Amino acid sequence: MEMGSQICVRNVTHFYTNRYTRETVLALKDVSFEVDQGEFVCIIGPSGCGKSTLLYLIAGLMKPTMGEIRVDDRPVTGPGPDRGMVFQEFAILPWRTVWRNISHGLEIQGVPREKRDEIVRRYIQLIGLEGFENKYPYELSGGMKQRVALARTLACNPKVVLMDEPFAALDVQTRITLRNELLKLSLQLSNTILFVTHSVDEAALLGDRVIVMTKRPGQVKEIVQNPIPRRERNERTLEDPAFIRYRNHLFQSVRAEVQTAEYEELVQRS
Amino acid sequence: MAGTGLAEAVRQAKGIEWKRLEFLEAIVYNVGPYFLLLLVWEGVRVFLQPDPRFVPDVREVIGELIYILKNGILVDYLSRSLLRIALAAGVAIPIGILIGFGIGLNEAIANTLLPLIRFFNSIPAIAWLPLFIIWLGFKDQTIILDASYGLFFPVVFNTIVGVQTVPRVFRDAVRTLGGSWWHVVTDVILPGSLPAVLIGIRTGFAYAWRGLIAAEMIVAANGLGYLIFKAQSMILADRIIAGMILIGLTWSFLDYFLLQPLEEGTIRRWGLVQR
Repeated sequence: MEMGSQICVRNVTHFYTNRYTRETVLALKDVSFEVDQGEFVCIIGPSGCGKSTLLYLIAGLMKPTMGEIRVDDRPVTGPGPDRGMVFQEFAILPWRTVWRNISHGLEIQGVPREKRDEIVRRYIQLIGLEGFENKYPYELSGGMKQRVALARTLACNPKVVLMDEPFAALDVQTRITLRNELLKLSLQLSNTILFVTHSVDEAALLGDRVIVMTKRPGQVKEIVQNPIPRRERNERTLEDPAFIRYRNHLFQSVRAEVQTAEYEELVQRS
Repeated sequence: MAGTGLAEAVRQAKGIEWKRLEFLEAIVYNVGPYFLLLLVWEGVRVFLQPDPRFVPDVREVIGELIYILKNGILVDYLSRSLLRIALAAGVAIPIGILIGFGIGLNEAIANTLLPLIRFFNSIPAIAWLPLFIIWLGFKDQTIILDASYGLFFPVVFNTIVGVQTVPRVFRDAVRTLGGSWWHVVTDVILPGSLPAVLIGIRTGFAYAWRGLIAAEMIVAANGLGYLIFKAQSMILADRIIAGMILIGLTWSFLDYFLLQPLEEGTIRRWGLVQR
């Protein structure tokens, strides 16, 4: 095991069985990669390539059929507060106010009231939700809900933040805003971030490295290093020639997988 | 000036005039349906002219209500029925929710209990009454058991649906916050299943009343069921109708003062149901 790598995924193969059709599907095939402490790594790939499954495995919400996942050199046996997760569906609890949602993880871990309030206040400020503390989720926009979800996860200060297509349910403008905010925010954080997305732009701008996955069964196709350091990235980076080349490379790489998948589906159907 | 105009408009929109209108609306909506019912009733009497012993007129029924209020029967019977239904609710609702949770969360419990619950659900509470009388005698316990029986099943079935329809991602979210299985139950499943549990309680109470009235008719010497049953032997149609009105009103009050505030403070406040 390499020193310094915080997440270590080694030869992970995962099957799942559809409950109704009883079909067994090979979701992931021999996936291996490592993520360093403090790194921001994005995973992209065509629909159904198992990238979300991979996050669920690292979160400990599912167990891999074969292979090993280690976080901080300890095997993952179940979910834990050291690996926080942000979901596509926001997943903040409708019966808790913004404040109580953000403090939920701290409550679970038994952080005393005063310390808890202090942390919650800090994160509400950080994500710009002052004045919304006592609102319930249904009173918030999608973007605000996802901010709350992110604050809830960060408040526990997990070593690893797993983000499963967190902006996929948002409109394009909100998506761009949140993407840029997350980029800025990540510079203040020391947490390791693993971010799954369909969007090449998101992956290219946010990730220090991008893992491209093949069509199902998902395998690591390639891992690409971002030419621009995170500190120097901002919205203008999108026009940087080196960045454009890098982005186009990612786009072609994913596109090829999507096209193969579509072609195979056509052949299968005919 | 434009600013104050807008402020004025907002103030007016939220203001007293609006409140008064809402109040009137509330009266119309709450009293209107009953008024319609009275109209139909009087219409039948005036146009079809049935035997007044069988279809009494509104004034007679109100007179009967005042009569039984004055001689103390109303308060005595009503309070006994209410106490019985409260005890039945106290038994059936917690057990129903507990079993519903067990079935909704655990496949082994579901496989064991669900067939039995389906079987017994098809047997009406009234069919059990003779057996309950043999076991427990002509006592309050028999009535309470019979009322609980009807209340239990809708609570169980709705709780199961409630538990199973809580989005899985909420459980996952709490688990990734470090929450235990118990945290998932108390922080996710319990509040998340509440809309369905409340439907179960509402539906269940209707069955509980049925069981209660039926049991009181046979077992008790007091209570609203007994009031109605006894009136039949004396052909007191006005008293029967007075009893029916009491049952309907009592439930309306309970719903308005217990269940509706509970809904307002929880599932409506959380936006789980919309108006």
